[in-house]
Formats: sequence, C-alpha cells, structure tokens
Amino acid sequence: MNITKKRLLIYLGLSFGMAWLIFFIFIFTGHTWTGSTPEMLSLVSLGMLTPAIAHVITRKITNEGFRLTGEKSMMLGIDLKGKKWIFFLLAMLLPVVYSTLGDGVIWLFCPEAFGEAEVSSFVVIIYPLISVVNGVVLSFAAFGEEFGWRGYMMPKLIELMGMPKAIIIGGIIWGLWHAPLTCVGHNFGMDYPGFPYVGIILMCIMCTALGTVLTYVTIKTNSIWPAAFMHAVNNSMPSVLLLFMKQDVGIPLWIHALSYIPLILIVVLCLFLMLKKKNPAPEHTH
Amino acid sequence: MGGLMYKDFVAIKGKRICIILLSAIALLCILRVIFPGSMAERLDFIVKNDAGTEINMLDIMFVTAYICIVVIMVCFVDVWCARLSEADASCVRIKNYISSLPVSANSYVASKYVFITIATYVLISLLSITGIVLAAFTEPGQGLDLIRMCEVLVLPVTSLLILVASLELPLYILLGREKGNLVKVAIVLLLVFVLIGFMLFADVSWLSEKETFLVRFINWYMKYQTEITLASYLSPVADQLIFYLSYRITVFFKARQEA
Repeated sequence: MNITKKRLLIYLGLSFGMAWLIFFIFIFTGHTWTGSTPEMLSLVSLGMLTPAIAHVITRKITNEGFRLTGEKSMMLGIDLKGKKWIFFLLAMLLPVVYSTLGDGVIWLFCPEAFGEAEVSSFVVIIYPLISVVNGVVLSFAAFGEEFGWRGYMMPKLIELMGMPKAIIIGGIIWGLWHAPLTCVGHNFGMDYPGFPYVGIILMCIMCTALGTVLTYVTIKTNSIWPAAFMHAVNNSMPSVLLLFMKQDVGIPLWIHALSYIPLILIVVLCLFLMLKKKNPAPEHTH
Repeated sequence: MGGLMYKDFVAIKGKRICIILLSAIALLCILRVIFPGSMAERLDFIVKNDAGTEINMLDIMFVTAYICIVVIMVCFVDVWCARLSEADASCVRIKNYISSLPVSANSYVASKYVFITIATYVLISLLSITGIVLAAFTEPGQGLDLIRMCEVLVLPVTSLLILVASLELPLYILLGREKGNLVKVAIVLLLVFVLIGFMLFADVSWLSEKETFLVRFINWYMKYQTEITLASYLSPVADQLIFYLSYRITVFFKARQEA
C-alpha cells in the first residue's frame, strides 16, 4: 500500500475513533442535540479537538516530524506578506456575508419565520462584529478541526488523487465524521422527512462546500489559521437576521438547503480559481 | 523570527510551565468528572445559607479552583513580559545583544509581541476548555451561575492580558528589566497617589449614600445588561489597536536607540 495512503488511514482511524467515542458516549447516555443543556453541548463540541490530536499522534507514529512551516509541514506559520493578509481578512468576513445572504433566502421563501427583534438596534448593529471577535478569540475548537482536516488530511488527499476529487472525498469524510451527531439532531434537528439519512447527505454536501473555501484559503496562505478563523466565525452564527428569527417556527429542510446558495456561489468561484491555477493556459510559442 | 520565539519559549521555561499547567488542568477536569455536582448530596456537601438557599459546596470548590487558574494565567503574562527581556538583558545590554543577532531590531520587537499574542491565545483556549468541562458537570445553581459568569469574562480577561502586555512590553524592551520594573512600580505608586488624592480632596458624598448609588447602578446595569455584555465582547478589538500602537511606539524608540 502507498505510504501516503497508509498515513492517511492511520489519521482517519484515530480521528474517527476518538471523536466517535465521545459522540457515542453522549448518545448512549440518553442525550440529544436538541434536548441537552448548552453546557453538555459545549462538552461534546470538544470532540472538535480530536482531529488535531489525531494529526499530532499520526505524525509521531509515522515519523513525519513536526515542522511548523514549509513543505509537508503542519502549516502553523502566519505570513501576511504579498497581500496574503487579504485572505485572513476575507476568511473572517466571508461567513458574515454568506450566512446573512443565506438567511435572506430563508426570509424570501419563509417570511413567517421572522418577526420583530427582541434586542435593541445597538445589538443588531454590532452583532456581526461580536460574532467575528468571539469566533476569532475562541477559535480553539475550530482550530482543532482545521489542524486535522486542512493541515493533514487535505494535503494527503490532494497528493493521492488531485484537487477536484480530493475536495469531494475530503468533504464526504468530514460530513460522515459528523454523522453520529447528525443522527441526534445536530444542525438540522430530528423532524424532517428521511431523517437521519437526508441530514447526513446534506451535511456531506455542506462540508464539501465549506471545505472547498477552507482549502482555498489554506492553499493561498499556506497556513491553517485563516481556515480556523473562518470555521470559527462560521460556527458563531454571524448572520444578523438570526436576531429576527422566531424560535417556534419550523423551517422546511428544503428551504434550509436553499440557504446554502450564497455559499455555493463562493465555492464555485474558489474552485474556478484553484483549478485555473492548477491548469495554466498553454503559452504561445513562436 | 521563529528562532527568536523559540528562544523566548526556553527563556520563560516554557516546557516546564506547559507540563505543570496542563497537568493541573487535566487533574482538575478528571476530578470534576469523578466528583460531579450531582454527587454533593451523597458526600454531604450541601449547606444552607441564612436565606435557606441550598449551596452545593462541591461545585463551589471547583469554581474556586477555576477562578484561581484565571488569576494565575493573568499573572503568567505579567511575569513573562518581564522574563522575555531578562534573558536578553543578561547579555550585558539588550542593545549589544540585538546588534549581534542576524535580524533587524524590528523583528526582535515583533518577536516579543507575537510571542505574547500566541501565549495569550493558548492561555485563553486552555481556560475555555477547562470552563467547558467544569460547567458540564456542575449542577444548576450558584456554582453554574459563577462558571457562566467566568465564561462571559473570558473575552474581557483576554483584553486585560493584551492591555497588560501593551503597557509592559515597551517598558521592558526599551529600558531592560531593572529600569522597567522601577518605572512599573513608579506608575503603580502614581496611580495609588492619584486615588488617595481623589479620596481626600474630591467630592465623594456619593459614597455616604452608597446604597442609593448601588441600587441606581444595579438598575442601570439590569436595564442595559445585554448591551454592556456585548460591548465588553468588543474590548479585544480596542485592545488589539492599543497593542499595535504599543508595538509601533516600541519600534520607533528602538530604532532611535539603535541610531
């Protein structure tokens, strides 16, 4: 077996093993995502650190070393030169844009889900900024995932099967990693047709889409930090329209799916830019 | 710059601190899992206060330990700011030391600031992880309220750490450890004198009506609680700006020193 494939399998085994152990303990102690206390949900969210732990253990087992920067490194460096700072800034702001636009789509198709905001206009104005600050400062959990997925898995997958396939397979793996939690209502709840299979499929699609953008910023900056910040801001629900959303109105799953259109547009752009760079146009020779 | 930061990591005895800190946090978390808040009744750790409210002393014990860790972490950053220049100052003078390095004075100053930023990020992350584990095994009540308050305080604590570093790093980098310490003590004394002067000469009649003042303050806080909490979330942004200004000022004066 190819050495890269072997290393990847060790990493995936460790990452899935540790995370699923936490998730299954959560499930078999009778908890669900919708019926648990915020404290218990935060505890389960620490499972996000397992890809990082798996990354470190795999490097130790396979003697790959712990280089911080450069080729085949852990991509922990931060280099802002050559306009790379733009990608850091974009990574922090893009989730605000696509989340708000996504919720705008929900508003368009399901206006009854929105009402008056229960907070003051001051809160409405500063809410996106708070989400960004909160996300970046407390990005350790997102860092845990990105250090594993973008810092170890994606470079190995790209080496094995090339860019487009790696993004799709990587997204599916990432989506399946969440499967136990999707089965107890994470992200989509438990009340939708085709539960939980449709939810798992949607999660894989969502992870593939988000993973494309995250891989793009990682490749452009050769650092996992913008991806970690983007993931963290994405998880801190930065859409200001959420403040106007009613809690008791069930939004159909298909409308939820449509809310990913803005993200998918960004994904298409990132994919185009990545593939364009990989396949440069042939030069004219005389 | 990576090499300089590794040197700083060694200078503050980073490996030993990491092991001790991680072991303490791991021990605290393991003990919390073994002794969750629900066990307090069996262990006879429930007491009643004068108002007749039941207090889970087991939870309070762990919360106290958590608050101690928060305080220790703030102290760490304060001590590290001094330690970073102490190791360099041992080479007779920082100026001589920098001139012997294959990097510019700017990179030297930047390495200190980046190091403190990374240290703050790591400390805050550890603090949050500990808070999450402790909160998950704490019973609803006073203990849980205290932990929730501490979790809300994580961002202001981050701001405090950044602010401490913004004030101390220029002192230690530009003046060295001994003079830096002297200036720090002088600033603290000055603040104390200002406070004493204020108490002696300013109009402090509101202190005699402190209960009315307190009630008015609490009413004001309760009315704008959400806004105040959210505004405190923005404090790291303002502090980052101060941190950057502090860096630019240090670089400016360092360049003049070099010249």
